[in-house]
Amino acid sequence: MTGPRGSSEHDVVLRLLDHQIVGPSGMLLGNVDDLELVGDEGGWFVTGLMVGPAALSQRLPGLLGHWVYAVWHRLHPAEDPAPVVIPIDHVTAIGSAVHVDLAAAQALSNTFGVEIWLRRHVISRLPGAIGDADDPRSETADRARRVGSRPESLPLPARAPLDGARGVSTVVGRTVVAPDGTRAGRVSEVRCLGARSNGRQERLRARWILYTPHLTGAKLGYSVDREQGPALVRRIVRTWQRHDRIVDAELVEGLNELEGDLTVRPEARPRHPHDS
Amino acid sequence: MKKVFSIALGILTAIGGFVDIGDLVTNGLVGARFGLSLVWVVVVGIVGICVFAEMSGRVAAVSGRATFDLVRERLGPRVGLLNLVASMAVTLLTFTAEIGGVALALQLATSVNPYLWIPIVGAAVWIVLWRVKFSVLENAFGLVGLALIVFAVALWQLGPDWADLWRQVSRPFVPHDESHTTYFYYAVALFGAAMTPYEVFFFSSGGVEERWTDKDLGTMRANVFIGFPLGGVLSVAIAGVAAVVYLPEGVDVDSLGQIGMPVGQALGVIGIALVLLGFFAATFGAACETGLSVGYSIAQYLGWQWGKYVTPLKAARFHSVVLLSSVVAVGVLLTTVDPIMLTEYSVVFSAVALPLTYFPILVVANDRTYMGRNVNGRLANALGTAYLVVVMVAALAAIPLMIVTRAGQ
Repeated sequence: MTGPRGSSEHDVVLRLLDHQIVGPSGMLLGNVDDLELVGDEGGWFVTGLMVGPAALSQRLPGLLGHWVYAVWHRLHPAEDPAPVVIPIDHVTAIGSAVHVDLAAAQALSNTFGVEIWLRRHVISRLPGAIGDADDPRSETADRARRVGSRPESLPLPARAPLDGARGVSTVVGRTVVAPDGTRAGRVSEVRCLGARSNGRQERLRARWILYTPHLTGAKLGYSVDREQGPALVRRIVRTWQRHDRIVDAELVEGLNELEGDLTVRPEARPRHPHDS
Repeated sequence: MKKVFSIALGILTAIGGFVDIGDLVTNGLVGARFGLSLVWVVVVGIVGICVFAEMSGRVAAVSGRATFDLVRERLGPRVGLLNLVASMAVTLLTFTAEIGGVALALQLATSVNPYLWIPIVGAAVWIVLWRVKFSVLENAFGLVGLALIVFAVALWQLGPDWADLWRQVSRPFVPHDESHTTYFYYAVALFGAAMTPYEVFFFSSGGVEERWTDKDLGTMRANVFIGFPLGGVLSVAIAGVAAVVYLPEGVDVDSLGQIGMPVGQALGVIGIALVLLGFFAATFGAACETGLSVGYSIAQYLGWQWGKYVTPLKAARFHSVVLLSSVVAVGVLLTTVDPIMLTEYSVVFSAVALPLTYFPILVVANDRTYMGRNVNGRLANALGTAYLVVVMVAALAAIPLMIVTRAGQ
């Protein structure tokens, strides 16, 4: 299952979503709260990391999600704030953390409104916060001032979501219906292909859709690595996930809609993720 | 030579740092009521904390990810949030109990009312978390906490009937004036005290603070496999002293003073002085660990910059959380709630929260894309799986037992 031109597979829900974002010098820059998904004639592509409360709120349950979104919207200095997206070509490595380049790191740290506010109004006023050699106060104050009068646009290369883009979380959890009309499960994973060229991560093409009758435990990783231990947990999770299926994304209808069921085309041959 | 020194320091710190207010109170109380018949639970708990602390430390060293990173990553934002709320409630409760414990230790030393000490202790803990270097914070209190070895010396000096003590340990029985439900309620409490979730939050985050790599795995394992069990010996000594002095008299232990008293009986004033020093260092050190753990966990769930390895201005949200939780803990204590009671509840609720923490660690320690050749071996997996079952049984039993026994009455 390798794609053209040495592109590699990425199970984006397992390997990208909810992972720590790390800058070049090791600074921690938030989690991957969602992934930007864009569709065109060639299919669906993961084009960016969505970071921050706006993206996270879409994935929290009911009222809590609404509240987080409302609080973020109210506190944001911009008139019509947009969720923050870091384009995927600023991703330098994908491991246990997602590493981004310096430009993206600087842009991201300028979008953390609460951090900047607390730094300016609380932490820097405490005795002992000043005089730290590698953190001149002037720079902090300067940055904070800039944010206070923040222009509508995000600091480059961060940007607002593209037109027609959505979070990958709008696909995960959608009901999948088999060709005969029976409910087959819910989307648990989007397996993508993407190459790196000149040290830059190209956008990831959604190649396969995985679905499962039970979403609980879908992110544990047992559907990807059939040997992952410990044996007892593996056996239980495998039994739990025995009706999981993987299917070619092109043979799934309904992805263009934002909501509603996805239908597997009759010519598709869904199989278990372990039967490659 | 430097390496040997650093390993020895780590082990000593682990011994002294192992005991916190939960271990002090639960072991003293259980010793007085059940003798040494629950020592098997302490042993089970210590093996358990060794298994999972080693796993979480190894994951932190190899992948650079601390425990709550893994929780969110593998359980998703919803279940992860549930986990965060439960774990933080328990850790904050423990933090509050530790600050209360420091105040009680200071009251014993000075006879000054603990409510005068509580705000001072809260402020002192916060100042340490705010200004003191991580390695100093970790080592200083652990080393001074070694003063608790007087419990082992006192047990020796009291000259107990060793054969009888050994009989209590090796053939556990429920004392005739206690019911089976209270016996198992305290078993769960002791288990929760030994395996408190904050220990792995702190241990794994501390590994990241000290920038462990896979070269440090040996040192980390020495700390865990030598330091923690020897720390557990201190726990057993506390229970043993209480068993020798209070069990025959049928005295119920419900204060920190009672737990330390027998040492004075055995060793005189110097014993009392060392006990008080040990109480102070153990609870103050644990207050620092739990206070940091609250900040670590929330920051890791949300991806914020955390830790004392960066300047405070770079981790403003993390330090704000730590500051806020210190204020909350002091506020709770000033409502005149009894810190000993808080401690008893915190260890039982710890038992409830255990599976949430330990399951993701076990799964990720098996993920070969992160761990490479450092994935769990057969032994770690066998023990990890067995403990997962034990931990789930304890978690399910904790609340029903608490209700049935009316919290051990």
